[in-house]
Amino acid sequence: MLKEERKKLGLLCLLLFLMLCLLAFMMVRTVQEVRNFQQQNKAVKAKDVSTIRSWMTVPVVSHVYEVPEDYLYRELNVHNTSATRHATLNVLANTTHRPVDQVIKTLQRAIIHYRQAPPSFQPTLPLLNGYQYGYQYLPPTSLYYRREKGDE
Amino acid sequence: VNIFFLDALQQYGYPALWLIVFLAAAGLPISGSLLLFASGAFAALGDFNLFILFPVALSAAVMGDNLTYFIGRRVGISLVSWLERQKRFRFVTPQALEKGRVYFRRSAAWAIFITRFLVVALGGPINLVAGLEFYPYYRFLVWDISGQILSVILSLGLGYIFAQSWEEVASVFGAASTLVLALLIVVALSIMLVRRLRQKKPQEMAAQSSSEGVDTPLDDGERAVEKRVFSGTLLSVSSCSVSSSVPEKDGAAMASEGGVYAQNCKKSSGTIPENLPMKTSKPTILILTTHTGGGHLNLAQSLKNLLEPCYTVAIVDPQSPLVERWYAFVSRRWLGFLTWQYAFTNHAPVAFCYQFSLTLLSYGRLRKLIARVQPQLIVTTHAMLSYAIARANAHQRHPVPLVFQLTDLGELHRTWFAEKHADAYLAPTREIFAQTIAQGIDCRRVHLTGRPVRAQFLDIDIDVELSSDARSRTLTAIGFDPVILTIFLQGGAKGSAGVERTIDSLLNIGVSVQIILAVGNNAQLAAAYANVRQVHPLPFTDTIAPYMAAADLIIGKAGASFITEAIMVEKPFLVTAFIPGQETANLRFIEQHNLGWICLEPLVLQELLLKIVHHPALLAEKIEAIQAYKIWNKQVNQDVRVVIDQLLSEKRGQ
Repeated sequence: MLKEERKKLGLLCLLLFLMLCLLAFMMVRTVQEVRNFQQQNKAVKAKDVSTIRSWMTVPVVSHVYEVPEDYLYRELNVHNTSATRHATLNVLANTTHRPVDQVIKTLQRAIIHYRQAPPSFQPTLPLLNGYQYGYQYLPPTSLYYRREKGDE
Repeated sequence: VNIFFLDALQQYGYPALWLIVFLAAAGLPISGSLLLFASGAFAALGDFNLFILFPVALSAAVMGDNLTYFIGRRVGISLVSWLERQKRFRFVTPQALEKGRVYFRRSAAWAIFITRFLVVALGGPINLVAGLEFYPYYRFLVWDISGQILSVILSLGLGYIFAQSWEEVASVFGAASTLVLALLIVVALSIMLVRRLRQKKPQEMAAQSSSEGVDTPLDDGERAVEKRVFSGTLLSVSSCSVSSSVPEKDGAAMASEGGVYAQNCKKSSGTIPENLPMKTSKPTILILTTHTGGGHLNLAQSLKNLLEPCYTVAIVDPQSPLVERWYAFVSRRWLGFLTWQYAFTNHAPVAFCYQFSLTLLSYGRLRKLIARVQPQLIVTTHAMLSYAIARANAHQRHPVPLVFQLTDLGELHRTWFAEKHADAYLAPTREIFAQTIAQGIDCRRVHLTGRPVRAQFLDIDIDVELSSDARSRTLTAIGFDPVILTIFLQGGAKGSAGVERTIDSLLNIGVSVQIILAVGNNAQLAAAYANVRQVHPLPFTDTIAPYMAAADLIIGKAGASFITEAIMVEKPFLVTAFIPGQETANLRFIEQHNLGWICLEPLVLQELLLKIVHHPALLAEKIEAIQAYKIWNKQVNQDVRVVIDQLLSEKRGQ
């Protein structure tokens, strides 16, 4: 009886030890996740283009990085339709047969270019599509819409 | 997989969300909460409306949970019987299954609630088991909806707030959930280990002693516990302690809000109840109280003494022992929190929410308790139990009359009025009577019955006790000089009375005084003053009233019970400490009725005592007012039984 009891006690100790290990591991993981979140949040606040994710849609990217939607569609070589407006970058990449990373890179580059020297925009009232923060996109100039070979 | 669902979410909107969350809740291995984080983020970025998302997500989650619950209900029995018959998995024995089922029944509500938002992966299996166990559907629904509301608000809210970083937030949340789960398991395992080690020790000793042929001696701790469980009727129903005839306990402790008595009524959770009130010809009255301070228990005991000749009375503390420990901790070390809590919950809407959440915690326990005791009438002496017991009683097939014995002297806390339809409200003072009616309680249900006191204070022949002979006898017996000013000082077993400071002031007053210090079971306090000539540490005694009667003045914390007992022995009460908030109005009460003095500062205390020593007329003036109050209180106390009789006869008439 006592032997059986000791066996159970040993098993309990082992289980406790394993759970303590798991606890320590989870503590480390939680701290890492928190740090990761802090970094990401910092980048988001700085509107860093590295925070573009495959779950975003073009209107979301346009909204977050304050870049005209049509400009982004043009950069992606995609028509601005109802279907594409609700398509995530992942879906857009699938439909245009491109890797999703490439789609993200194209957008990142476009946003950086736009920030460096934005093309001319004219204010318009009322808003035509509700997403453009009071600006309507004008036809592109050759400087900003020269497609790069790698994007094709 | 998640990318696929996110794409679906963006392309098909709310219907897709509903379907995904429904499937996740139904137990499919999909992370529903991740989708909710994403939906919250999409709402922040303009793609969804948060106010539509909430009902969509909630309804989907609840429907999914219901589906698995009903599946469990349908196929559960055959599944269990198969598991019991099968031989493949040796560890799934019928005994283990039964143990698991018993454990689930015990903590099903918490399991359902927590798995909605914390350990979401276990949600599906828990729903199945709940169905399998035929866990009451409406209770399942209540806990499920409560948990899911919290879950949906958390997920959508965090997603919405941290829109672009929702993935990282979800990861943090997931990691933190697992961490909490691991922590809970570690705590549970540690408790199991400690219990096993404790069990092992006596077993080994027993084995050793039986082999040697001698009796196993109890260790000091066990002896102490054995001593504390008094003559046999303190029971426990899971975590409820039931006392069908709690004997008169140490008066010092009872009188003192320090609650030595409360400390002695330790609950032995987990034991099987043995001595529930026997069915007699007398109707059974169930008095609910808590161990938070000595006052509520004291009041319950007083009511019991009053009703015992005609009824079988059971005093029960249905709260978890943790509540008592928590109260002891905050009253000792975190008084500010207690004050804040009192003020915060002293508003009707907050009081209602507070009572509602307390009801969620204790409802099941109270239902079980009522089913076991089967009382003909229920009385509660604690506001925190009032709403929960009203709900538990109302949901009985045959509700019994419910009586609220209001506790405070000067001001009533709003939590008493979360429930406004009790059958009777017993007001201890005129002030409380007026406040209760002002709260909109039907005046036919409010009765001015005074503050009941324990039998020893009613039975005491005050003329005899106050005679110089009796006084001399009592004081001489403890080595005191009857000629010197004697003070009865409440020790405060729970440490909230700040007694050391008061004793220092009293001993340095410049004239000779002697102090009867009621220490209860506070051994540390007793030891500290054991060798001080002017102080007599008074440990447990069943009859504290003669000691209080032998003193010239009673000093202590402004607890309602202690003040009332001082009135009963016709002694002025000097307040040196109080719990801000709950006892503030008691100070006003003492001053308004001329029952004593308030001296919160040592210098003021010294000054006043010097005055009393030089002008004994000051005491006489107070005693006159006290006697008038005592006569009134004793007189209206008789109405308690009248009210109870009336309620019971009305009930019988129905």
